[in-house]
Amino acid sequence: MIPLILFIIIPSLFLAAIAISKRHGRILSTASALTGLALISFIIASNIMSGSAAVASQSYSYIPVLGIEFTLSVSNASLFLLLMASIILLAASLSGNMGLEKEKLSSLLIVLFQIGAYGLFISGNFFIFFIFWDIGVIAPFFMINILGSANRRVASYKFILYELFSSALLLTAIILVYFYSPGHTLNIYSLASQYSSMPTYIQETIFSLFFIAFMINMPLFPLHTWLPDAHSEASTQGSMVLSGVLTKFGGFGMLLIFITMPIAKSFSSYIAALAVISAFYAAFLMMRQRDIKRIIAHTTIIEMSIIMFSIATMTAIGYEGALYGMLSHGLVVALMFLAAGGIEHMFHERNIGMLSGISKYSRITSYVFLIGIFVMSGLPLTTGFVSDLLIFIGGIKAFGVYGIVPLFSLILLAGFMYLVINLSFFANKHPTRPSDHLPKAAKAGYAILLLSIFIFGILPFIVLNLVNSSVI
Amino acid sequence: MDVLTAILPLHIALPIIIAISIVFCSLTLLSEDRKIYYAIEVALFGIAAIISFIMLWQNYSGIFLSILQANPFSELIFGSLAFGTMLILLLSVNSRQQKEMRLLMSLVLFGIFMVSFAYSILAIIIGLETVIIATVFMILSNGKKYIEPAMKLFILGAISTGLFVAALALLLPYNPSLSITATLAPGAGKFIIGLSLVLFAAALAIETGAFPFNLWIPDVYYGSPGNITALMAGINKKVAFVAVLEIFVIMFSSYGMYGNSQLISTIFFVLSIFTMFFGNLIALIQKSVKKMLAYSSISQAGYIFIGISAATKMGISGSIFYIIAHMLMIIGAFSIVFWLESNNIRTIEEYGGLKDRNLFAAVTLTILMLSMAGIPPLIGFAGKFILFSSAVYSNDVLLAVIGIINSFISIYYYAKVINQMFQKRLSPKIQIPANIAAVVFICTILVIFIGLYPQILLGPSFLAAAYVI
Repeated sequence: MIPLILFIIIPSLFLAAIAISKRHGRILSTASALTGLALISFIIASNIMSGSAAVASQSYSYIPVLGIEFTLSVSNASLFLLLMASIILLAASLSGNMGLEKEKLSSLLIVLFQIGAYGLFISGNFFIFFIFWDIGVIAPFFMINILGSANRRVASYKFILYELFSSALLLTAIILVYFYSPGHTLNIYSLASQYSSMPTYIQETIFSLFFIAFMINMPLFPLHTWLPDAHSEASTQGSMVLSGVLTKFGGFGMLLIFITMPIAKSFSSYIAALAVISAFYAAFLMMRQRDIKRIIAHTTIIEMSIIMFSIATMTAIGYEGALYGMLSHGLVVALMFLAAGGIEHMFHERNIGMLSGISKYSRITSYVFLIGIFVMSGLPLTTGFVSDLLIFIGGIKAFGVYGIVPLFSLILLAGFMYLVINLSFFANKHPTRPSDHLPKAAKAGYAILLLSIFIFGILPFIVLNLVNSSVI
Repeated sequence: MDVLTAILPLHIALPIIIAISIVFCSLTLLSEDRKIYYAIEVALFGIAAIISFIMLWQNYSGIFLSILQANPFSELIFGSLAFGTMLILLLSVNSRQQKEMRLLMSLVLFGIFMVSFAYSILAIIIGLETVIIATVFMILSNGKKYIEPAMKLFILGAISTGLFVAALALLLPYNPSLSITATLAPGAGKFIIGLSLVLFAAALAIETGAFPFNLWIPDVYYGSPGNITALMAGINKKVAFVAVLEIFVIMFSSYGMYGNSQLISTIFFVLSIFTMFFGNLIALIQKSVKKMLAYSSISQAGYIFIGISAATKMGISGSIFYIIAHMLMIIGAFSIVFWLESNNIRTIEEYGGLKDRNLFAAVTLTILMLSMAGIPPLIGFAGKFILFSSAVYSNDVLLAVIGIINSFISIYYYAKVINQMFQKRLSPKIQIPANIAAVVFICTILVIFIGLYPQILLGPSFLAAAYVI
């Protein structure tokens, strides 16, 4: 096993390089993402070859007086999410912020976010988890606050307040875990056997704190209100990583607490119900939106609610479905935000009422958007199909017929999206004229994301083999 | 090193350095001013800090001059505060009365020395008084319009000293040696000692800016020139905290009155909650950045009390860690405020577009504010983590939760400034003077570095805490 700390050191070096260099910010950030992807692919390949599935941990001395170590671990779940994050970051840094001048700043922020995301997914104890969680929140804050569009100030403010409220809850939970665990450990994976020795009310408190913290980040109804603003006002790169990677922080955390904490069993059915409500609520909200980025932001809530539902089934196949769902949703939502960014760049318009027949002048973007909708509605041969299949098999296993209910929110999503695309993309009456060209880099971003969507859709076993034995 | 310590014992070296510094300043007071004198003075402060850290490294301890004692606690505190004083001296290079400033700064260093190395209560009171009087004159040396804050500070300092002496008078019959480690003589009345405790609490609450006695802080901080505000928030207040640790933790624990769920712990529990809420809630509605930071430094005092209330080794080391951490953060932040003040930029509104005026200042102020709000991986988070954990350890989950709520509230007003700074405004660039940039840079680098690797300060803090509790 290669030293996992490379995942933090290499982006940090690139961060320093970008800070020093006057130009080449985008090249350096792309190289950073590419190196990350290479490292992940190497680990995944060697894990599959050797058939090892256990959690691999590496520890360094960090704060000996408190008994806190700098523990880095990769489980199968984290490999999954690292792979997804690397692909999205590669696409985002390659395509850049269309039409935005501040290349250096956006590259700096995306590499900073890369450090946060990598560190979070490979963190082996909650202290490290929390540190990288907040790095992962601060970088997008500036992506919205400095690089965002017209309404960015309110959106970024809302974002930071919600997210830091969530991290305050997380901190409380972590301190409680630290205090009540025998031996004062914070190790995420070895805690699994220790939760049961805590008093029940403490377990319940810890679980609730963790749950609400992750729920804000995912987000679920009723704590989702920051998301549409933040995701729609961020820069293109910002929207891609916010929707694609940041929401998965919460998903990953949910997966961890549901698998490691035995108390989750007593909450799971209520949480599943909440997830279903959340999915439908977001679906109805989505239908009232006219801004194309806000529509995509609402689909994020729907999809993340369904992923939450899948985790709440507490079956092995449900966990797999949730992981695959996160992979699928991350890739597709990044693709759609990139396409929306392309449309905004070309037509200087995001309102679907003002756009019509844009496929005439932006053929590539329109078809990419269409494919994105196919993936979201679960078309076979794409990742969306595999994830929906796993999720709803898990749902039926756990809740019988009711397990299929959230599927209807996906139907609502698909129905509305086809309506949108029909009206503004393909109705060819009075085509809107573009005022700009689509940059070549954006096409490269489309290519990377589409390629990975189809590869993992046609050959799901490449990565599913990983989690066959155990999710974490 | 051994040869050197044989010739000149380290504990003697420190008073000698301070004496040299004071004599040097007094002599140059009369002659014509030159830049090199200032540089020598800064170097002397640096040497004092380094000697103190060497003593810490060698685990040096002992009693000397019968009212002072050296142990890792005093060495860590003195080294850090001397370093902070050096930063402030560097910050005030271009102030109006350089020569006087230098001399008064040396007196402040003397005060810090007396308080942090105190073995007798007399040393504490001499040190506290020296620091306050020197600060009053520092404010006055800037011109007539500063008479008001100087007067306020002087009167409050006098009241505090009066209360302190009254408390001391009550204690004297039962502890004639005035040593902070002596036990009480038999026959000490519970009521008398309790009254003395309350008077001590009031005296030190004035100086640390704890809840009911903190109304002077925003006025004086706001009214004084920025570099002296940095001194008051960064050094004076921390000296008072050291006195709190010495009086309440060292002295009263040798009377058997300090411990978890004892009276002192409860007093600090209440003080901590009210101080945090008071500072944070009023900071929310401030328009001036300087006032906002003044209120925020009040609330930060509340966090330090959490550790004292916890009454464990972890809590005390958390308090020591946070005293030093907050010194670094607040000196950095007030340095930027000081510089912008001289460019007539004061309110949050006027901070808008700071990134276009000066990117360095905007980025460093952002980092320092995020650290004060407790965002990892910066120093403020490490400190708060230990403090809140120590509260949970001593079964004060409520205190930890309130602390976390407060750091969440504080994000609201810090984010307001950060939000403003990164807005686009068409504004001319302004240059930051090299000395201020150096101070800000040093603070920011330390905030990031210790935040990334807290062990470097936490280890000494735990070592120091072992000598306190």
